[in-house]
Amino acid sequence: MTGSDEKIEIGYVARAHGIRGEVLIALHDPTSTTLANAATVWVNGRAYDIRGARGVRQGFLLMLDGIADRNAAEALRGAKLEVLRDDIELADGEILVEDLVGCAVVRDGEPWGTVVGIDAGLQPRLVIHDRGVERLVPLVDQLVPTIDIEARVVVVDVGADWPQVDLDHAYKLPRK
Amino acid sequence: MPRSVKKGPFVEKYLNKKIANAQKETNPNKRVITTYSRRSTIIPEMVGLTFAVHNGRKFLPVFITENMVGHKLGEFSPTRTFMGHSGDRKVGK
Repeated sequence: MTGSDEKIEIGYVARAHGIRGEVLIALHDPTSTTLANAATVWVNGRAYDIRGARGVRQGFLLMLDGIADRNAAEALRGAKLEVLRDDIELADGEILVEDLVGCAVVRDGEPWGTVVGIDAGLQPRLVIHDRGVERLVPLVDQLVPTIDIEARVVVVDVGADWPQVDLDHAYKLPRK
Repeated sequence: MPRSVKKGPFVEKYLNKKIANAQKETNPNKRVITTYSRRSTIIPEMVGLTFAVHNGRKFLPVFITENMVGHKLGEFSPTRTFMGHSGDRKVGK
């Protein structure tokens, strides 16, 4: 899934800002500074060059090429915002959530489900679905010793009696 | 007013027993201690253990690390899920 033209969704247009066509971007990762360095973004699949970007408390304010007034900015409200994968800088040990989702989970050499998301919180947890049940596993080295993104496999080191719930009571993934 | 230092941190009595039993095991990582006691304080003896803390709906596993000591178990098992403000996405794609 890697490639120079691959795009990753990092947020969405929350609202228009001011009368000069600025848009406020709500980021999935509020600590991300990717937009400060990116030259081009894709809004609903259409490319826009960035004329100006500044960080604010709620996210990032972007001034996009071709969006010159408030009406044009309002039309983008709710649109998903993507950047090139290469524009996203990852520190050592960091992994994109998009890469984790869909990975097979293995426990004691046996298949144990599939990663369907991350429960972000004070302690992030892998959300694993397996044949009608859901399990949450804290994303720490002691319980998740191996994450092989190339092989799309996550190895967990947990007991057989790990808590699980039926999918009817499953964790609701926050809306992107 | 904070809790008296003389009493020490509050931990449910039954939880202390479960912690002592878990520490005797060869691989305590694999053991999950299920509890409803969100009010119990995290003490150094809990570090390295996993607790399944009830959030009112289900048990959420919490792996205890050193920087959690002094907090309550319930702080790591949120009872509400913020799904975003409806106003942010009024217009479709």
